[in-house]
Amino acid sequence: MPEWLLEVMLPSVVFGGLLIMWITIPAPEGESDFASRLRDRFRK
Amino acid sequence: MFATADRKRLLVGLVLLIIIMGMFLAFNRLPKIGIVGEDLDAVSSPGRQCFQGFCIDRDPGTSFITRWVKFSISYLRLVTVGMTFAFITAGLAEAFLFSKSVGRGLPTAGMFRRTVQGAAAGGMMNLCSACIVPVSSAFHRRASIEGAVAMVQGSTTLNIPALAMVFFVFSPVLGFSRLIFAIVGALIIGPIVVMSVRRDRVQPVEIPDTFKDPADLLGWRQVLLPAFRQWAKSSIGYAIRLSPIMILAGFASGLVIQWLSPEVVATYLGNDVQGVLIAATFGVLINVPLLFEIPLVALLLLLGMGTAPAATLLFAAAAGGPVTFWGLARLMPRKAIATFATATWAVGAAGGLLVLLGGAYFWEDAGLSDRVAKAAGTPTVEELFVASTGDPVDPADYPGVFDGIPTSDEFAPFRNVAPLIGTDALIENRYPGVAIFDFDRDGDLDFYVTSAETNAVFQITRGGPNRLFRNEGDGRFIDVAAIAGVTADTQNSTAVAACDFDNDGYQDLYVGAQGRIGDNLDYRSAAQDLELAVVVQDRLFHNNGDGTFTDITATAFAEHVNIRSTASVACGDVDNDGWTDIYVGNRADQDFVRFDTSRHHGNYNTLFSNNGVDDNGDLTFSDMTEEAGLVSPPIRMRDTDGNPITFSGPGGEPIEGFDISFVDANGNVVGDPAGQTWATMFFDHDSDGDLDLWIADDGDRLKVYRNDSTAAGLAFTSIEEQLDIDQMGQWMGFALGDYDGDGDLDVFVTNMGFQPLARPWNGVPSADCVYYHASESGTCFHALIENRVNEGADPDRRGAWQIVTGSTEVEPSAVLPPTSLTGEFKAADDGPISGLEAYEFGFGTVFFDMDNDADQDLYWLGSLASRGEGPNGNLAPGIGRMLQNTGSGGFRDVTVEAQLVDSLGVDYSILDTDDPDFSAAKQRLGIEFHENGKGVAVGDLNGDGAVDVIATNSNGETFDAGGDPIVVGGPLFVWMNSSNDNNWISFRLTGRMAIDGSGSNADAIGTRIMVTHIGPNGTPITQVREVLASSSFLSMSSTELNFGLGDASRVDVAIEWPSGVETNLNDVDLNRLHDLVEPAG
Repeated sequence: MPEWLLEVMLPSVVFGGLLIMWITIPAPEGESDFASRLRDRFRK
Repeated sequence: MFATADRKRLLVGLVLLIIIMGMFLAFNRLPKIGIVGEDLDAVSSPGRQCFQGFCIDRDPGTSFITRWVKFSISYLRLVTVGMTFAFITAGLAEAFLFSKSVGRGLPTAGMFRRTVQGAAAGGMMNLCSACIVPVSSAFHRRASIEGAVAMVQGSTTLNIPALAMVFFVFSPVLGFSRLIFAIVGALIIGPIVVMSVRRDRVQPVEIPDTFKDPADLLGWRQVLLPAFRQWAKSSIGYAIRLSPIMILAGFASGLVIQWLSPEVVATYLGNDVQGVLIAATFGVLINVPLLFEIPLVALLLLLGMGTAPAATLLFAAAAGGPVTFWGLARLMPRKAIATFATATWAVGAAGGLLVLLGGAYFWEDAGLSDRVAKAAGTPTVEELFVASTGDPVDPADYPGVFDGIPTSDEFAPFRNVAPLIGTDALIENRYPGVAIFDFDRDGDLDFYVTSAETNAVFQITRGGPNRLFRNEGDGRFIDVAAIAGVTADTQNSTAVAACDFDNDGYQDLYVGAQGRIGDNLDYRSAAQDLELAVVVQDRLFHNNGDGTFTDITATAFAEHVNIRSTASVACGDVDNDGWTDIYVGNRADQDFVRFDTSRHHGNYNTLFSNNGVDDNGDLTFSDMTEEAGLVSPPIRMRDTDGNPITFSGPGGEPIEGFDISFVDANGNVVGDPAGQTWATMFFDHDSDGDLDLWIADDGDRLKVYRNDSTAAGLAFTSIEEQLDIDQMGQWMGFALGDYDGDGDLDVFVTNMGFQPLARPWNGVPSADCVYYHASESGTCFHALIENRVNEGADPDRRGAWQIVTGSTEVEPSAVLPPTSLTGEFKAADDGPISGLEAYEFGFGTVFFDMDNDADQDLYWLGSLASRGEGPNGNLAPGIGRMLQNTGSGGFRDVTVEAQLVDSLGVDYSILDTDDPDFSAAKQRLGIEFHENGKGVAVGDLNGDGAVDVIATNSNGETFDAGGDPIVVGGPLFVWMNSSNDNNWISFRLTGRMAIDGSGSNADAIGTRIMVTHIGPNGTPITQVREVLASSSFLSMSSTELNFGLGDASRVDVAIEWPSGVETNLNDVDLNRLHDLVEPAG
């Protein structure tokens, strides 16, 4: 595996995981943001 | 205990923080220390000094844009991990640690307390100034501006790894100054920023202690799930907002750093107020990854930056930069950002000025620690050293060496007896020279070796004791330099010549010196500083004839003493008045040597005419360079079209290859419009009875001066162009000998060799090998120059001297063939390489008859950078080559068989490559195992008729057993020639001046001897030699002349003395040294 790919993997995995967490966990009541809108779209 | 939601979040946040920081340390911080270490190694390497693409010896094939992009990408790759951790840590802080209600009660803590909290928290984070911004943004919510700014300061300048490395790498002055700057900066910059915006400062959120958050009634899950969501949201938000600007800033920083060059550093970052102010400005204009300010400053120190600007930059580069300021601009007013930048600049500048002030009274201008220089004589090298001849070493082990003629083989291996001298045979000098002469006139040859400070930047030691090894006649050589008074230990000694200047029968010593490495001062500055002048001035030691010498430099040269970084000393009586004159070949101060630009000039050379001994008994010399027409001509520097590349002179006039705007740390112009001379040689090339002068310059044309002096005065005429041998090259050493046996003297000149042809040219007309070859402006191949005068050529016209390097066949070694012949090497221009061109780099070189078979064999050695096993050891490597003359115009490489490989610890026990037990790697038989070859000289040390070889190697970097870089002394090789049973005859000549003050100079320099005998096929052979007293490269061979005779049983000898007197001797006794005195004319 090229070295640059390894270097790209860390931020990709970290921020990918954070994005999933952001989308998966429901937003507090009354709060709307990018993740909550995306979550609502998936639920429909 | 965890009754409130804040406390629940705080607990989980701390646990997560510990986990994240632990991972960060394990995967990023600790490995990064290694990366910094690698950069430091590169920085401290003498050959190639780089910091992330910023190199002293820039990669010749890369353009500015390429280097910029490469640097910027390297920067971004280095900070990517840190940034990632920074963003998630910032999100964590915002979601778990510093949520609004956590701050309840804190605002009453006061400005100082918030500042200290910020600095302490930042120190634990140890993120770079750009990386800490997101975290400090979150922290700002709780601790206001002063806390956020202090956190940035603490993280970048007060973190433990950085402080530890600073003390490890730099001198105590820089270590303590960095610590003090960091503390001061962390404590005052934040409050200053706050005070600057007192009216419109952002107030911390004040929450009364009585505040009750409804969330406190919630359970763990209900508290933590939103916190985790907030963590993700905040972290991604930070990444989206800050990443683009960080990428842009990375390229911007790369651009700033690429503008730096050694000239810029020398000009603008000297140890003065201007240097400090510029360093402070530069520091706040760049962002560097955490810890990388250390190799950057180390590199700049090596490039000539002063201690005070180094202290400033060490702080300012780490403390902040454009990305930092931009990031913080989101949470504080622009005025606060301006104050932050200004305060950072001011702390760095003020601190630097204090260091500058202190330097004037309390400490010397020394930047780096002495961690490298202390490693001389490490076990690894000593073991190798001893192993090179066996341990223990005893003369009894080598009866063949000390007891005359040992074998009937064609030749027996040379034996290195230097370990008999012990560890003293390890030399501390970048440019060690050796002279072989009989200083005490006891009949056997002694030798003198020069030493110097090893690297002034690392350790200012000033000079080093030179050594005079007295031949005890029993195989031992004892250092008597101290007794003799010739240690010259305040001097940076280089080249040496041993000549009898006052015609008293005892050879005196002229010892050259070089400028200090790392002081960024050229010779004009040295002349103005008496303390420095004693380090860099040449010296003349008069031989008292009783085993001692007297330093007569002051009376002999007065104000004309040479201080221009001597690399070569040649003795010769150029006006045939019986008094030996001196020609000093000067190079350039090491701090200003560059070959990848159009500007690589050196210093003027000097001809010292010997006035003889005056009525006071003082020997004096006059500088007759100008009168003799020997003022060095401008260095030749041509563009790709062959037109001169010029710079503006003082009056705006064009000067080829010389830039007067290039100044040293004191503002004095660097160098002269002259080439960098490595070697000089006097010999009578046109056989007209006077000494002509040949000059080998580094990065200039080969130069030949015909001696046209008359009774009216000295006069030399440059004739290299009319001889058509004015090839550009990186010429480094001369050897003189009749290699083709036609009765005239041929010349061999060492050069870079083929290896640099593999590196692409950087596009700048310069002394670059690929440029030379592609533009046909010069060559990097050695030059074997055949003298065709005896074939009828006019000695002063084209055709008299023919460069025959490529057409001279060499039978390669089966064990150590050059890589140009093994398919491992490919030239960038794919040009042809043939014959003697196929061989490697060379410095010192000499012709001598290694096997006494009546022809001239050729030896050279040399390597450009460090030891082969050290950093950059593969930069133009060389292992020494002993080429045995085949008698038919070619050579055979017998380096391995003769055991003359310039490497320690070589195992010669198995030389059959088909033998299953043969292992080149285990036996250290490879180009990668070379030492740092420099000087070479020959002489029959033990009087057995077989010419012995002494070689010097400069100190250089290698790695110790633990893999740490160390600088080790360069081994001295004293290779005793075991020879064979061929007949021989040797001569020691004494000019009449030593007897009665008439006739030729005492050393008989310039005397030519023709020895005629019958060869193996019944035809007469005439061998010719001329007494030379020139340093081919830093060194001088014995003035005794040695002739191998094969199986000849009768020889006739004709001697032509410089005075014109001739001596003819018939049927001279063989196998002995003849001590001949010039007859009265």
